[in-house]
Amino acid sequence: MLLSFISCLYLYSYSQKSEFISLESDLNIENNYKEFLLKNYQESKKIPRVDYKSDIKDFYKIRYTSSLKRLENGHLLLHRDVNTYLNSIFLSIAASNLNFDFTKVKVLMSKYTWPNAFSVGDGTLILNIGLLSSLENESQLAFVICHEAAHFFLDHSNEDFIRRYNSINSADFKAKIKAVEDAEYYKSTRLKILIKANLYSERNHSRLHEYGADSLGVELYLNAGYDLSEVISTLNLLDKLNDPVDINLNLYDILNIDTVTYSKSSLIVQDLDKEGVLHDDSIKTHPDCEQRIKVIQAYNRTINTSINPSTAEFSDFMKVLKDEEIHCLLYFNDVGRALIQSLDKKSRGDSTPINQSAIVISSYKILNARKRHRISSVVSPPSEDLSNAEKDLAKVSHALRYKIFSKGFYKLALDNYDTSLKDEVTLYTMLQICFLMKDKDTFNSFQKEYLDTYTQSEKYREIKRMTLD
Amino acid sequence: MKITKILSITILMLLATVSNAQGFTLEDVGRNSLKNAGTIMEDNIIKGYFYYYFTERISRKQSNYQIVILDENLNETASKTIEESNRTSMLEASYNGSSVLFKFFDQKLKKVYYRTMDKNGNISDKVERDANKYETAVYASNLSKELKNANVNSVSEEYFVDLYTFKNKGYTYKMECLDNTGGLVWTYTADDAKGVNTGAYLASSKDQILVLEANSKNIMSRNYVFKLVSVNIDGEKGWEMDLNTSRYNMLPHNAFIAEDGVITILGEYYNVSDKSMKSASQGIFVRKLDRNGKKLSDNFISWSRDIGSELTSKEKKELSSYSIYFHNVEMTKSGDIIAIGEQYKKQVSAGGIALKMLGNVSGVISTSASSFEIKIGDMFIITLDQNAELKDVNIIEKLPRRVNAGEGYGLVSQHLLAKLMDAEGYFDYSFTQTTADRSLISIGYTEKEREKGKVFATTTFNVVSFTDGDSEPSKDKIEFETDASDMRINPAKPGYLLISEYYRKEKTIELRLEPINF
Repeated sequence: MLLSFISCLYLYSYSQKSEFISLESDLNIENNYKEFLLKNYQESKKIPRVDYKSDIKDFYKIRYTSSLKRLENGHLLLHRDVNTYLNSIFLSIAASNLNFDFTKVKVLMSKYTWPNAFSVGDGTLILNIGLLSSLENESQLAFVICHEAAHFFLDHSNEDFIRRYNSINSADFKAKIKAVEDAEYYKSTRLKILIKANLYSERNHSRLHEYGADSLGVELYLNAGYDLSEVISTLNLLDKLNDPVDINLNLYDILNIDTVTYSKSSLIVQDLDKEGVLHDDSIKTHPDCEQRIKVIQAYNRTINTSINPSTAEFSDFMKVLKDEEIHCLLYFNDVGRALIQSLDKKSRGDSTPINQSAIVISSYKILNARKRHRISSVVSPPSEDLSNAEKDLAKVSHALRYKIFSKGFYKLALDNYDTSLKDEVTLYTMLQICFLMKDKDTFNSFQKEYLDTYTQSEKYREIKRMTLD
Repeated sequence: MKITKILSITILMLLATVSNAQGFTLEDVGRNSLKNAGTIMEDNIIKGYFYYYFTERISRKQSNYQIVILDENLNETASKTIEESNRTSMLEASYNGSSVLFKFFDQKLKKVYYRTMDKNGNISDKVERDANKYETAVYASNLSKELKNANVNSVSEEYFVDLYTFKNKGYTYKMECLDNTGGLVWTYTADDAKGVNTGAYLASSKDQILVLEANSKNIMSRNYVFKLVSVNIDGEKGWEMDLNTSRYNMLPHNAFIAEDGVITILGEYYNVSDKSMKSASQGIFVRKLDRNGKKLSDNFISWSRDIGSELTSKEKKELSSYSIYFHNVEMTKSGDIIAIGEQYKKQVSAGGIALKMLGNVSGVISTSASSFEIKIGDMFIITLDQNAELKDVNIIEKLPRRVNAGEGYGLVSQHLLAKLMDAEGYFDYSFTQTTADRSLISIGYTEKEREKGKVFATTTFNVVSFTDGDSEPSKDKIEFETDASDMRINPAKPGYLLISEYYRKEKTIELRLEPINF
């Protein structure tokens, strides 16, 4: 039961580890976080006696183990410099808000590539790389931290649990469920109505919490001396985050192929009023950004800020994030987006070896997935929700003849290999791609290079056994 | 905990189908809520998929069912609730470019219903008719099987036709034309002579529908005479043509009507003295007719004389040691003809004899083991050029597979046995898929492979593709490697495969389209 309540906190463990190098984790940060989690968990167990004590203890336990799992699965970015920078912002906010106990709070960055940030409820604030890499300045980062910290200080996570618990254990709800159970006919329809009402109520509370977190978050933020206008710019940014980002990338030229078309559905049936689908605004967890901006604009506290939103540290931080985000996309098997981002960086003049390696590795992963009939797992099929560059890649990956497709991606990998990282992972990838393409001469030369260079590698025997004879 | 269980079930019911970025997920499958599923076809091309779910009982006799329609790209395009009797099943769905026609069968009332879904997802009222005894028996026995479009076909954007057999003096068939609301436009009733006269839809154009008639003396007879019948678009019989010459009987597999009205019929031919359901065919024929049924040309390509002479000695040996069972004959965009066959032979089963002997020794009078088995060999694909001259023979090797013929099957002829095995799905051949312009023809089949040193053979799915402009066909292999409890590969829109993975624990089926590599 409790699992379903915190499913929103427990993030997926389906990720496949990419061999691509990432920012190294700092063991001290990892151990500190483990201690922090344990301490908070032990404190949370000392809760006052209430009717639902055992349930809430279970809830805390699952939350604790989920946080540990997130850490152990390598979903957090615990690099020293990244964390030092994040902490510097966090500490400046804490120092300006001494009436809040920030020692119970920890800000960490995750490798999750979707634009989100969340307060786990145990004091951990998780900021996804997918959100941070989109921010424009330090003030926006500060507001995101303040907003999530406000969720923690307002105890939203625990409050949500208790409210849900009380709701489904209420005599009224139980009676309604029993009525559904006892009904001989229209059981599903009755249950749908009940669930919808429950869901609407839940989501309504969730939206109210967002307004609350905005309100306290802005207080914390202004106390730290940041400019209110950046709160509005953050919300404007959030509003557009789910829109496809148009990257000006001519994939057809890059792959040296003709334009590809993907046959659209010829079934003209379009049920505009699909049943069984909840497409109501009432199920949104967050209020519309437009509404949130209106509330913030009504705020009448002005301060004279001396903080420069665009610092050099922020620029450096963002540079690191942009590289790391490609790694994270590969980590979570979102290979199509990883390739587009690395090609986009290249088109903007970034031909760093690490970016070149990202192109080689993404090309191989796409080629291999197509060969193994798993292309859907690494590149989304064409759809209107994608950006133009993503659409082109989707069409090429899903609709182009393999014969032409494989040549294009093989050439892309070969062209970028020379200037890529001279490391085992990239060489191993090139070797695999040549094997897949049955390019005997090139394969043999890479094989020799690998066997000569990486004599102690655990893949040595595997590589030695490979032959195209 | 009971509440939670109900809640979780409800959430699953509420979101029984979930679109995801990669494909489509059918949830809550393990609770038998999914009654029927199948493809929506238009001119033999997959245009979508239908899923028919039980949702809830609404009265003693009636229930709510959900119809979910996915398009050829697995996007959910419609989801509708309909009220039906508890004993109703969905048999088939067809698309004519403007509406989808659903054919239902009520087992208890023995009625056939038609309903259509228009482009806005609106479902028409049902149009019903009584199911005859023959239909009742056939439909009831096929409900648990994978549904294939066998009887309902689209004719232009305005009509559908449904062919079904009934008994009067003898067995014959009716073809009903239905409009976009499912309403009856006309009924064509075939000649009602003694014996059995069954019909199968072959092809249609804007002015005529071609039906292949098979006539035999009685229901047990294997001696068929085939006839081509043209029914015009108003339901009147146009012309008919016997599919035989003084020397040969013809069994068509396929027919194409070109824009200029020229009809091309492809199939196998038999000696006139042979019984087509019992004997091996003599070769492939190509017959061309004008729109009025006037014969333009006949070509007969013999296995032994024409094809055999072009083969290498190894291929000849292959050809002589096996028979070939032809699954399909297709025409490419450039007019080449591709005949898709699979080698087989009936042979004595050492295992079957041993079991019989053991049975005798132990005093058991008989065992179910047959002394005969069918050995299934390589795929045998023959290409003829536009002039029906042999162009290429592709023998696609696969590990031979033995299938027990079953007790009593030893008495039937080799060819009839192959037909029976085909009906039961024992061959490795799975499907043929063509694009609308026939520039790509893909042939799917399963194959057992045994790696060196391994005891058990693994199964792979293979697709051979003939692409317009390529001199050689290409081969693609799909491994059944998955974490799912079960994985199936089915035909999809041309050039793609539908891969379904069933996760028993999660009770979900994940569907995704994967391009064929060619």
